Amino acid sequence: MKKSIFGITLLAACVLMINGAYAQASANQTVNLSVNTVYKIATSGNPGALTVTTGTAGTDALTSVSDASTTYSITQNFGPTVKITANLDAVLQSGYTLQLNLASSKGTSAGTVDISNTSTGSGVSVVTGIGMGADAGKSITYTFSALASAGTLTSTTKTVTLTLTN
Amino acid sequence: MKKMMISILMGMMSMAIVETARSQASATQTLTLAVNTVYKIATSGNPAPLTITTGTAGSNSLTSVSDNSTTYSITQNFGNTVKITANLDAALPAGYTLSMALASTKGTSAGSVDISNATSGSAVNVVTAIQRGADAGQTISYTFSALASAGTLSSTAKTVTLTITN
Repeated sequence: MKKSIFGITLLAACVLMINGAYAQASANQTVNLSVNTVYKIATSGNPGALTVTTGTAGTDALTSVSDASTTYSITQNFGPTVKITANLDAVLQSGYTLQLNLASSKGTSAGTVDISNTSTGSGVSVVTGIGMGADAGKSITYTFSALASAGTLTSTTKTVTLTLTN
Repeated sequence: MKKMMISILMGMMSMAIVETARSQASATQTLTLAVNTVYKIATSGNPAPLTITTGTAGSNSLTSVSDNSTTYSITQNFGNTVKITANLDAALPAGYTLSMALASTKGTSAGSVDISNATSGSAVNVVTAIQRGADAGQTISYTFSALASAGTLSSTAKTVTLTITN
C-alpha cells in the first residue's frame, strides 16, 4: 500500500513536470503592409539673374550667360521609367533662348535642352530612365541667349516647373 | 453576391490604376531674365598708307588715292535709329581732304563723306537708320586728296574713330 501511494505520487509529479515544460500561449496578428507610389522633387532655390550684357561686333547672337548655382533632388519608388520634364509658365518671345541641363546619376540626362517654347502642358524631357531611389543635389544649369535683332529685354520673371512623372 | 464582389474589386482596381497613372510631383524655380542694350563695333585693321604721288599738269588738285582694304562689323540691339559717326583725332590742315564711305546692309550709307574737319565734338554721320542685329564685314573706303597749293605733307598718322550710337 505504501509502495502504491509512492508510485502514484511520482507519476503525478512527472505529469506536472511535463505539463510545466509545455506551458505556453500564442496569438496571431495579421499585418497589412503597403508602400504607395512616392514621387518627390525639390530644388535648392532660384538661380541668379540671367542678364545678357555684351556681344561680338558682326554677330547677331549676343554672348550667352549661364547659371549653375542651383540643384535638384528627387526620390521615387515607382519604377525605372520615371522621367523629369521641364516647362515654362509661358513661352519666350522669338529671338530669346533659354536652355536647361539637369545632371543625373540615377537616370539619363537629355543634356542641354531648349525650353524656350515650352509651357504648361508641353513640357520636354530633361532626364529619362530614372531608377528607383534617390538622387540628391544634382546640378541645374541654365543658359540664356539672345539675338541682337530681337532687341533688349527688360527684367522678366519666368517660372520653370520641373515635374517628376512616369 | 458574387457579382457584387466582382464589381467592388474591379472598382478598387480602377482606382488604383488611376492613382498610379496620375502620380507625379513638381518643383518650380523662378528665373529673372534680361537683355541689356548692346553696342559693338570693330574694324578689321588699319588701311594701307595713303600717299599722293602724282597730279595732272595744270590742275591744282593732285591725283587722289584710295584704300578699301578694311572692313567694319557691328552688332546692336537698341533699335532702328542707330547710326555710325566718324571723326578724326584732329582736323587736317587746309588743302588736304580725307573722305570715307562705309557700306551697309542694315542701314543707310551716307556715301563718301568728308571727315577732314570732323573731330570728337563734331563727328559726322556715315551710316544712319541701322536696324537691330549684326552687319559684318562691310567695306570701309578712304579717299585722300590734296591741293598742290597746300604743299607736301610728311607721313602723318591720323586716328579715325567710328562710333555706333543712337
